[in-house]
Amino acid sequence: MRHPQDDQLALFAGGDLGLLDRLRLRGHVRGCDACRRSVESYRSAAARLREETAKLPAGLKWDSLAAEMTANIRVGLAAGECVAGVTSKPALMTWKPALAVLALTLVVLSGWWLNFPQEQRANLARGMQGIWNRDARNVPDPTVYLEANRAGIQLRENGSAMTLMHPDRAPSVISVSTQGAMRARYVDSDTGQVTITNVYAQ
Amino acid sequence: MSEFAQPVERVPEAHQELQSRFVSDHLRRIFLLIYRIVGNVDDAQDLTQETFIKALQRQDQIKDLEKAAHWLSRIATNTAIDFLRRHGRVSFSDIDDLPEPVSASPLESPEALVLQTERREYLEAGLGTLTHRERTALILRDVEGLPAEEVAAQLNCSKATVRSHIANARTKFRRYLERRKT
Repeated sequence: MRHPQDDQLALFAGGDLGLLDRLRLRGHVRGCDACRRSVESYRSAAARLREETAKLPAGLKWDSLAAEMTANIRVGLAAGECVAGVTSKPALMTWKPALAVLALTLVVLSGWWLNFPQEQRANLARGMQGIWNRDARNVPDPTVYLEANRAGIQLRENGSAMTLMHPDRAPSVISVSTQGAMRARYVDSDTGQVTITNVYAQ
Repeated sequence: MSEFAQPVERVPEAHQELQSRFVSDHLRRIFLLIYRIVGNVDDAQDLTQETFIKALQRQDQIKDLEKAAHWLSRIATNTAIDFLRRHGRVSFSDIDDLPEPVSASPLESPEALVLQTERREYLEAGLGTLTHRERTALILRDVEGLPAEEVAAQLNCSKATVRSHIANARTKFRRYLERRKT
């Protein structure tokens, strides 16, 4: 006869097997003295465990221990309440007032926008879009600019600028090429010397 | 007014009474449950206190007393299992280490007390042969009488794993008792 494994008997003794296994083992245990004794032994060990563990540890003075634990629990709860009282801060705003403030802000902004003169509104929109496009992407403007003014010829690119300063006097002629160049010509009235400055942008 | 000077809201008296009754009704049961899992009086004392403080801080949970008892057992088991995970040990108090002297009940003779102590030590040594998961599974299933599904939920593992823990624990414990008999 083939006997069930020990762990199967242990589970059977405690009623922890599934229906089919339980029925199979029940049939075997009825006809097998050794396995029946084994199952009884498991049940007796469990009963003994239940009986002994229901008792307090030997030598323990329960009354004084219980009083001490009860007092400590009270102290712990009181401390917890104090800490909760100090640390819990009231919420700044609940969702209803927050929603009301948001709605009011939207109404004010819409009114302001609609009352703005048409031309300024378009300029503002363009300006905002420019700021958004430039700043949001955080990419410097890659266009190369050449500009002539009284100080000299300035080259601007990627947010940087370089100015080629004129002599003290203003240039007599400034010419601009569509190929991306700027030219300034100076004539010294005392000596008649001619100075020409060419700046090419690529 | 500084935040420390703010008055702390006091627990109503009726609620304090309910808390006290809740503690006195369940203290012994919870202490024993934790003691069986951690196997040490000092640790069991600390963990029992911690369990009650955790439970009573959720005041809404103790309205239904029957549910609260079950819920308290669950907190106790989790607290004890967490403790064992952190410390990775199960150690039984030596009787000589107990802070209080052995007190003989007038109904018990010194011989009966010695016998009881020996039986207890013998049983505790048997439980000490199990791993902490086997021991917890065995206690929850065979002593507390929880179904295997609930034991699995408390140990945070599958039912198959918990059945394996229970079977191993029963087999080891029975073998220990039989070895000591011979």
